[in-house]
Amino acid sequence: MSSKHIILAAALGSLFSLGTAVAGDDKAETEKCHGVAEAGKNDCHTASHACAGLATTDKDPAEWVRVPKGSCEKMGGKLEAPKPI
Amino acid sequence: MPMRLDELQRRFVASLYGEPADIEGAIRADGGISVADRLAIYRGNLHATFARALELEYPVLAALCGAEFFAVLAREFQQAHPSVSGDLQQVGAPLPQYLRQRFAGGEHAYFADVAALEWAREESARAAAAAAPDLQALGAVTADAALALRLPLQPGVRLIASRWPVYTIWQAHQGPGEVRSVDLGAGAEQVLVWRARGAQQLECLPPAEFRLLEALRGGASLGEAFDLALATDPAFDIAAALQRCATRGILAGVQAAIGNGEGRAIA
Repeated sequence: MSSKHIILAAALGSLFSLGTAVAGDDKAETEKCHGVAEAGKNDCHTASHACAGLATTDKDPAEWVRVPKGSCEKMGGKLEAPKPI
Repeated sequence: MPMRLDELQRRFVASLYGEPADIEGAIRADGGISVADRLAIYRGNLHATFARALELEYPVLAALCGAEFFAVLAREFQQAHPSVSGDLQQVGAPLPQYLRQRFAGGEHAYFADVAALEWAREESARAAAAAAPDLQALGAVTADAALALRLPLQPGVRLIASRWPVYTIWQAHQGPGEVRSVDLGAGAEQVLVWRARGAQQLECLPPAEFRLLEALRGGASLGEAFDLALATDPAFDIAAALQRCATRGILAGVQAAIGNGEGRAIA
């Protein structure tokens, strides 16, 4: 029997001590809404939703800005890509 | 003769995406807002709802871009990938791949990896929860069986590897206050995304541990996955790594591989 057998069995054996104290994601925990639905995105009934686009009717934002101007300006340092992992 | 309904619908969609559609004559004028303006309002809502959905799914990307450029990007992306689902939570699915091409080779090439991390969080939030493994049964696996054991991961587990410090970039955008500056040249990061206690969790992993999880997720046996991790880091501590897996709750119910490849549920 190789040492790898023993190491792996011992590693699995060590899980025994964790016992039932840890578990997978409990179903009850996942009942609440997640993500974007939570933020009301799929709520089609509010007046604000229906009016969301009124201010942007047919303006072409492509005319305004062609380069990112947000927090990417804070991502400094060497822009050369490091070696792929 | 009136226009067929399917033809009317086809032209209506074409007009929403800015193609020549010759549709205004087919829509009844009611003396109020002109047909052209009504179509423009519909188009504006289509873009605004799409962009808002995208922003909710990709808040860090939106911050990196800034509001004005993000609006441009959302518009371009919607044009290339119109929503194919009635569920707005799906509109952003093709965005990481789109960004990969859009910014390939440029100084914003890392946007695609940041977006991949944000989409991994979205997917993790919505993934099913599999049964947890029986750790006591796992602990009783014999040394012989341990090598061939398959340890499946929870469906909500995502593994994102980037040659840029995507985890650090993501972290820099959390919480209130100024975004911290990040050195893009700081090197590669490997991120584990999972769900625990009803919320998405993110953690940066050492390369060997990431390799182990990638292999397990790909269906490798514990012995094979361990070998790959050791090849990355000869000092890799498998016992500590498995303990962390169990504590994080990323393991699912276990199948023991038998010689012919048929699984036998042991836990």
